[in-house]
Amino acid sequence: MERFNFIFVVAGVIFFSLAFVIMGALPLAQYQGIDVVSMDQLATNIPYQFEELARDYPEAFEKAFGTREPTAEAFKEALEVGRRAYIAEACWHCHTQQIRRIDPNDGTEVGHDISRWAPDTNLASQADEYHNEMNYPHLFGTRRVGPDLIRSSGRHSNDWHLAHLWNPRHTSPYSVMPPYPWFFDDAEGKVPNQTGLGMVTYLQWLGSWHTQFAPSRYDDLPRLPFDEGWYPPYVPQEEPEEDDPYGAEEDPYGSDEEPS
Amino acid sequence: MTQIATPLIRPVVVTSRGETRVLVDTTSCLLHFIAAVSWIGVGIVAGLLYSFVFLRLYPHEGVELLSPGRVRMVHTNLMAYGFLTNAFIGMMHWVIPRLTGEPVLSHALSKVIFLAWNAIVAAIVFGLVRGQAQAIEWGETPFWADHLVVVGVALVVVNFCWSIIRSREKAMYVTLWYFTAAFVWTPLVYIMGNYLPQLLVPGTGGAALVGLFIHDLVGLFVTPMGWGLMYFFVPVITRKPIYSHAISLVGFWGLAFFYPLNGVHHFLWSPIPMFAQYGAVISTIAVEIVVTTVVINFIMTMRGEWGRLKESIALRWFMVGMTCYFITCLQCAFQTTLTMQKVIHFTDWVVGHSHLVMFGVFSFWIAGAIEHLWPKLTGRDWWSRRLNLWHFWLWTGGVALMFTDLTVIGVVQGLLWDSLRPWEESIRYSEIGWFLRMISGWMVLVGFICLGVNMFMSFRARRDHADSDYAGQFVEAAASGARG
Repeated sequence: MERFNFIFVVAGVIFFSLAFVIMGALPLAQYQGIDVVSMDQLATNIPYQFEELARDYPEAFEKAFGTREPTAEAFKEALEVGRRAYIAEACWHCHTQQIRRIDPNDGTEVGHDISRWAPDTNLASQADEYHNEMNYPHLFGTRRVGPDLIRSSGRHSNDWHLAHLWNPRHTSPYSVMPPYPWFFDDAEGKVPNQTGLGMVTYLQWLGSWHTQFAPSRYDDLPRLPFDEGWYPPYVPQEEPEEDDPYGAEEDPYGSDEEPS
Repeated sequence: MTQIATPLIRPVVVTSRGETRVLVDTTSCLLHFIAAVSWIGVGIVAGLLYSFVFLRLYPHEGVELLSPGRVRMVHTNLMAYGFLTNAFIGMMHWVIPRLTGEPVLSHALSKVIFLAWNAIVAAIVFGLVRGQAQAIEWGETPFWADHLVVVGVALVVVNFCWSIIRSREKAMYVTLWYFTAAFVWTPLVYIMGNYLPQLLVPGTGGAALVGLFIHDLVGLFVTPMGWGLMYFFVPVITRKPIYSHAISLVGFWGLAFFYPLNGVHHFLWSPIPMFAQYGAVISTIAVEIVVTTVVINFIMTMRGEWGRLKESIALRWFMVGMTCYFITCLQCAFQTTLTMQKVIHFTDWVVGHSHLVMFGVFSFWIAGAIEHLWPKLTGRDWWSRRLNLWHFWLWTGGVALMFTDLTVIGVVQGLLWDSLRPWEESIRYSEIGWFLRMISGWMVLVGFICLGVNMFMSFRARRDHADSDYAGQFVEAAASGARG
């Protein structure tokens, strides 16, 4: 046990491989046979905010993506640019992209993730949300100085995002986030450049897979039927019928009206 | 072992094969230590700059190349690849030939490695500030730099393994077990973490691998190097063999088995399958038990020797670092539980934890090694003992303040998030903690300046001297420990 060869092979190679199999290969095997969603498939569900960007900043949009139309090609390019900037600026060191499967309602009384970050869908992050070409590598993050971003689509408007990137204190007075003036072409923060447009597109895309958007008339790719796509559309659950057999007296929160 | 008195840079000794050759390449040792201390200086400044962001006091707001996010990555990458790696290579140049009685493959190659590695580190910094980072924690090195790193690591491994393989010593000392294992693990870990999630494995599966990478870089590269260093220098300074050979076996094989299994505990409650998460939690707790045996081994070695702490500042670094290590691992056993993760994950608690282990443990051990070796490399005593004491107390106070402060505000943040109060409240309540963190950063920077000035002044007055270390007796002591 105290020889070079023994340590090299057993401790070095065998123990490492064992851990790789248990902690790496077995989890990977769970996704065996599931195709990685391609950029083309992602571009079949373009958030309307991207069309808004093309409408509101036509010159900047044309300069950035070579067209004034919010086509699928432009969308793919914007996503790539946004993701690259998100990594380069280390956004992922202060913003997570992961809603953990914990909720105070599960009986343990601690944990906040689902209530705080997915109050509408009530869905924690699922593995298939990350099984696409935008996740080489994943961007889960390990520190949350600012809010989680995996459901940021639609949470704020494009203009809010651009104002926030120009100077975070304009929109969030207590934010400690640094400003990103190099996402803009001018000295006043009114004209986003390619990186700025890409970043907003990326932020508006995160979580957009829970919404099904109307097909863009500029789409130049063959559309795939959505149920053959990669994520089922979110269908809001209907409120249960209000035929409470116990009547209003049993309402734990009380009622302003006296029962008749 | 016959020793021939020679000038500083050229110790000529008889190897374990009876040849008269240059055994220890003290020049490489010296160069790597200088590089390590230079990089940690830059890294500390980067970390301090980054701490200003949290106080909204960032001095270079709006300058693209000094964007805080990029500076943060420069901070962590310089610590891992600039400081720790350089210091460990320098330390191994001193330790390995002494334990094996054989020089490394080639002293010329050592110089090439020195130049190449530091060129790689400079390239990494260049790539990071230019915005070419890779989204892998602790591996933000630009993807094009990863290929260079792999080649560099391979050269280091070949250079040192040569010395171990050719050794004719009867006993292979504990230090060499740790180094040998690290020589296998480090390239495997680096390739796994930097290539698979980038090229082959997207999303959640890749996250499991990145979790392994984050943890293994600390656990399978830095930790074995650090313990190898401890197992060498503590007995050398106290002139006593390690207390128990059997316990050191338990410590090594326990670490080798359990440590690689820990990775997924960085992503608990994530979409990674729960069996992997449960396994990671259990093996993390097992690591704490293993660590306890190692710490007991060193405490028993120190029995009757604690008075040496008054004289030897190097020994202080080792013992304070070991205490921090025990605290880190004990904390780890608790914080990795799924319940506690609900509150403290994503908070500053984790930042405090990582500073305690990377700074309070491994940087302290390296400071101890430099403290012990610098007089031997320069041929004269330290320029100022007072500066060394300032360095010691500033760093110890700095890490104590930083760790306590970040742990406390970590809990505050976690509970505030848990209460579903507006997000801004967690930031406002953290401000005092972030201010104290900046103060601790200043303490670390001033401590570093004490070290740097002292090293420079000692080096300026260096003398040629005979290399009269006592590896021979040391290995005999280790071997007798093995028999006993």
